[in-house]
This record gives sequence, C-alpha cells and structure tokens, in this order.
Amino acid sequence: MDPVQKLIQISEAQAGRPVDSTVDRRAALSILGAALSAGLGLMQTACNPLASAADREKARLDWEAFFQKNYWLMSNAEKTETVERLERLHQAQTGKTVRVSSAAAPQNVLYGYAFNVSTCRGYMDCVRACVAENNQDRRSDMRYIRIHELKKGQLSFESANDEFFHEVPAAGHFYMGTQCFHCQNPPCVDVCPTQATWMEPDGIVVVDYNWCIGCRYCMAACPYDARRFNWADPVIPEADVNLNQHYLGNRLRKKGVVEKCTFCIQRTRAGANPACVEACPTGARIFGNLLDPDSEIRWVLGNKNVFRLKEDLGTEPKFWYFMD
Amino acid sequence: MGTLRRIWPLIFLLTGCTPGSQEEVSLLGRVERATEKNANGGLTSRAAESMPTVPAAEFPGVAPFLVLARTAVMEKFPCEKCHNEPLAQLITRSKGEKKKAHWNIEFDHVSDSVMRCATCHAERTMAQLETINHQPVPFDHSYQVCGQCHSRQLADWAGGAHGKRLDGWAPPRVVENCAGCHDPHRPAIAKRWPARAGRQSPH
Repeated sequence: MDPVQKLIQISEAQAGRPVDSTVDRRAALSILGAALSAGLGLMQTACNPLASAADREKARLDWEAFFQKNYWLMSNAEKTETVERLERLHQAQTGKTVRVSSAAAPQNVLYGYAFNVSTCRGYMDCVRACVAENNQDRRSDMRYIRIHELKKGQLSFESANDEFFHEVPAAGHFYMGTQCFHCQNPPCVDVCPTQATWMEPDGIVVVDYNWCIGCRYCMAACPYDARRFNWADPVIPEADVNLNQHYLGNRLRKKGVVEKCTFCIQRTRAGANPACVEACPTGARIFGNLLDPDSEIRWVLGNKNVFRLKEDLGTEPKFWYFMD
Repeated sequence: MGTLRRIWPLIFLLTGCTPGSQEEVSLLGRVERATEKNANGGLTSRAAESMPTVPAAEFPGVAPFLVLARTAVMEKFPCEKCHNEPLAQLITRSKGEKKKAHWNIEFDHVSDSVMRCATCHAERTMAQLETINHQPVPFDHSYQVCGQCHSRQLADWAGGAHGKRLDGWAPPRVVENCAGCHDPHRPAIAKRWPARAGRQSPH
C-alpha cells in the first residue's frame, strides 16, 4: 500500500482519540524516512521476476508488516489479518506452525497479583517457567522476574542479594520477587513517543513490538525496573520456542525493542494462570480478577495486611505483597 | 411551573448521578465497588474436568470451592489393598517381632509427647482420620484434621492466601489439599538448590 495513503488512514483513525499532534508528525516522519530506506529493498525483492515465489511472498509479507498500524488502532479484521501474517511468516521461516492469538480483554476483568513474602523460598522455578513461556532471549539470559534475597530484619533492596546460588532458603533470609506490576497509572505509557505501549481494558500493560522504536524512555520512566531491552536479536533454540503466542505477549521479538512481563497474556486471557503462578511450588504467587468478589486475590486484599512498592509515587501497581 | 418546581430534584438526581457522569475512580475504589457476582468474561478453569475433586467444606466469607481428592492419588490405601487381616489382629500377631511396619514413615512433625499415630488416625484403623474429639474425617477432607492446630493456615488456605491453586485463575476454584504438598508425617519442606542462579538485572 502507498505509504502516504497509509498515513492518511492512520491520522484518520487517530482523529477519534485525543492525541498529541507532535506524535502524529513524528510517526509520519518515521514512516516516510523508513519507507524510503527499507522499502526500496523490500520492493526490489517483491517485484523482482527472478526471485522465487517463496521469496516474493516473504517480501510481500514483510512489506505489509512494515506498514501495519499500531495494534490499538486496528479493527478486529486487521488484527486477524496481522496475526495470520505473523503465523505465515513463521511458517515460511521455520516450517513450524505457530498460533498467534489476538484475543481481546475479557469483559469485567481486571487482573491483579499478590506475592506472599513469607512463603517464597527462592526456588526460582518461576524464573525458569517465565523464560520458557515467554520466548525470552537465552543468549543475554533475559528475565522478567527477579528474586531478591533479603536479610531478615530489613526491607532494603540496596543490600539485597540478587545473585544467590546456594541451598534455599538460606538461614536468616527471606525472598521477594519483582516483575512488571502493571500499574493502573503507568508512567512508562505516558512517556512513549510512538504510543507503542499502553494499558489494556483488563489492566495489562502491553507493548506493540512493531511500533516500539527502542528509545527506552519507558525503561527510564519505570520506577520498578520492570522493562527489558533487546540489545541484539533474541536467540531461542528452535525446539524451545513456545508456539502458543499472543500478539501483545510472547510472540518472537526483534533486536531494538523493549519487552516485559505481560501477566502471560496468551494464557491469562484464556482463563489459565501465568506461568510463574503455575510453576511456583510453594503457592506464594496468587493471581486473579480484582473485580470478582469471590476471587482469591480479593480475599487476600480483604483479609491480609498487604503493601505495594513505592506506593507514594501514585503509580497504583496491581501487585501486592503480604506476609502470613 | 409548579410541577417543574416539584420535580426538579428528581431531574437533578437523574442527570447528576448517572453512571454516565464518568468521574475518576481510583483503583481501590473500583475494586471495592465490585461486589456483584462476576462472570469473569465467560472464562473457566478446566481443572475440575481433568482432576479428581470434591467440594470443600463451607468456610465463612469464602465462596464454595473444590479440593483435589486425596484418595484418588493415595497408593497405599485402603489397608485391604495389601492386608487381609484387621489392624487389631495384625498387632497381636506381630507382638514381639522386631520388624517395623511401614518403616518408610518417619515421624517428624512435633514432639512425641504431643502427638502419636492415633492423634490423626482412628485407633481401630489407620485408614480413617479423626479429629481430636474422635469425629471421623475422610482423607479427601484431611485439611479439617490439620486445621485443628494450624487454624491460621486453614483460614488462609480456604481464602486463597496459602497453598496452591490448580489450573487457572478463572472459576471453578480448585486447590491442593494440605497433604498434597506437606507430608503429614514430616511436614517441613526440605531445603534445596534453586532452579536457576540469581542474577542482577542485566538491562
């Protein structure tokens, strides 16, 4: 599609929403500039009569992916088309069938999380499950979850040991996990110049990896160090790739984009628990619908003494800690 | 004019306080207001179909939930699976024998002055649990025996703050029984090595 026409379409779609006008211009410039440089190469392959049919198809799909809208601006039909394109591209590249979901937020659901500081014993099963579930880069050993080993008697992350590797739990210590807290008032979302990150109606803060330009403003804005950056192309052994994916979740990323915990959107929007909750052998991790008065998370909030990290910042994390 | 004067408070009520007025609601305010039964977007957990479960006893302030059935996974149950004599006869016959029955059961729960086998098991048959007051408790509901002393854990477990939930977050809620994680004969969970080494945030 003609990039100028695409631009008009985008600005029309954005017209319904109050958007900072500088963002429009920036998006416009980035599209035009990138189109000139990258588009030429793609077009060459796409129109080259000597290229094989497979190459031509891949070039066409790449071309379409390059000019796709921001996910939250897409109609349902466009979302379906986009995830089908991703599935087709994966098939063409690896010969494997991947399932990329575009499932929308369920009605009247707001996800929340609770972490029992007394029960966590530092087994790190959650970290292993998270990496496997979310197709995180194995080369840089990327992890969304960090488990901090803290000395009993203090709650200080400065003196925490994040690099423990010994039998756990160690005497005189307790364990506390951190990850993306899916703030209801997320500072990372406010700073994104391309609106590539936003909060979904079910409370999950997501990233459209196709629209992330890798400026890392969101990483600077996050008070909890929850976001991770792909300095290089992520490497995952082909046999270990989780083929059950979501567009806003664990689909394969590229170099130069930011990613983070999505409460395992590919699982939770189907009623399952996040991989960390399922893997936790001690039941220290509790997940559920904050709007369901019968949910476990609501019982914890109503009956235990809970706290959140850096509450005074007003970020309203949907992630609570409690003790027995 | 007189009619209008009479109904204006009504007009004010209808226009000023409708849900459409879209005032800013805080996160906790929104959570507190959600008191109605929630359909959870029509999502359900498949645990109840794939696992043997029984409805748990009633707990005040907790919605009904399911508990993983113990008897379906217990290997040495009931006694008749291996023994064809009743317990009393077995005891009489084995008097004087040095061989220890069920030698693999090592008791390390609390001091022997507090507990013995018959504190939890019925005296006449080990295949039945009992409360301290000799009320029978099925193995599937063993939490009722544990909860006699561990009342705080029982309340947390029933509400969802202790123990492991099985399958998904969506209803129906299915949870592990106490003995699914803790060996009742030695309930402390041993230390072990973590699955991965910890590391600083690299990015």
